[in-house]
Amino acid sequence: MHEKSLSSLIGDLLVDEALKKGILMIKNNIDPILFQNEIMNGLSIVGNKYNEGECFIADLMVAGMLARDLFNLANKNIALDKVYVNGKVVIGTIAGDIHDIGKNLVVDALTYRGIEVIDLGVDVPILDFVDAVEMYKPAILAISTIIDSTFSNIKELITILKKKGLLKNMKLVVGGAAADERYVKIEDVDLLTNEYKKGMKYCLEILTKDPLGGKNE
Amino acid sequence: MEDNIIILACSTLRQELELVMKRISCKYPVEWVDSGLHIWPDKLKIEVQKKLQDIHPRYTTVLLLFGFCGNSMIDIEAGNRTLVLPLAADCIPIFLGSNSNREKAGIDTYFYTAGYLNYESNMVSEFKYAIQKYGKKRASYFIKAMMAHYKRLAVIDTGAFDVEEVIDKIKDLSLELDIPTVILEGNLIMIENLLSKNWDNDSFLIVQPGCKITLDDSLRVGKSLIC
Repeated sequence: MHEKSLSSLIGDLLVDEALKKGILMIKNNIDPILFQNEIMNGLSIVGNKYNEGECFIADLMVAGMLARDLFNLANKNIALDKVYVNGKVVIGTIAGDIHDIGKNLVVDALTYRGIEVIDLGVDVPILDFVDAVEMYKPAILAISTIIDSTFSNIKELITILKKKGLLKNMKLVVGGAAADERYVKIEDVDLLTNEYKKGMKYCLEILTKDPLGGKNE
Repeated sequence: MEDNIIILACSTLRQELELVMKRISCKYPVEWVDSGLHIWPDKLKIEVQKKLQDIHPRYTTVLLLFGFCGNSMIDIEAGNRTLVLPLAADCIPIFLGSNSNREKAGIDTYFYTAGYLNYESNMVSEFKYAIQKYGKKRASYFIKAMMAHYKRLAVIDTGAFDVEEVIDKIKDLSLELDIPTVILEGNLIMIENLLSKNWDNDSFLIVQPGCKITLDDSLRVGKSLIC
């Protein structure tokens, strides 16, 4: 019988089997890009199921946490190749929001690829974002939100960054459940998305010379 | 009572709306929208728009009793009638009486009412489901991560349901998260003002015929929180 891929196991929410399979792949020194693609494809399947009403928030979160566990396990076992890394990421959940599961998953996935990530946490005041950009000069500033009333805070942050000339050498990414590009347009944002895979792909394209998008795309 | 006004409301607010209507003897007809849809903003938007189109042309004003709920109100078109709705990110300011009351309660408070508990997917139902599907250990892991930054559960006493009954239903969640459950006093003035046409600019959005709800309207919710 054909053995199921890691992405299929995650997509089918077979969490124990997926964990076992992932650990085995890590032990067998799986190519990091392939491993990451497998996990992200699995999460996309679960995300699509959720959007179609075929599973619950709990399923979405359990899959996301499984992915985090796998990235963290892999970080301990794989010697990362940092040759490709082009810059750092500053990330945080904007003031007015305390949710961070999606943000944490992005942090783990980027860290797994050897990228330095400065995580400011949740409910981050606007000026703390500004200070962090001035201090770390990141290639990407990633702002997370699942609450649409926080977009006014994001707009205010962008106005300050622009005034200080801090947008010039940095990409601005807004992610999270509320970041639906069909309805939300914010000037000076380079990518606004509520799709994990799309956000990750964009960040990796900016941060690496060997962008994601190989074998499993 | 004007006969050209109709209410389109989210079922989560049913008990509270019915209480206020009784209190002020409001007889406007009401159409209900399934509250569970709010976790899929797209589906909620489509359903609200469809219900609006199906409303009889004799009704020239529709009172929308919804929060903005994850962009779900953005792009809703008024058609040839006027829409009026509260400027609220979700149901919570409507249960508490204002956006400032919502802000005072803190962003680290997770709220419950009977309507929210009974009609929507929520953390109590998700936790139960996760235990059944993934076992206690993984369910516990999930719920603690999901609710990591919440410091308390709060039951909003709107006067429309038995508070003790709701406290009883959420006690397992409170124990699992090791955070207290508090009771907050509700205030249904936003519903009363909506029905009584006290539509002040800071609390309500009026969408004129031919217009639609925009992202800028949604951003006013955030601004009213800052004020």
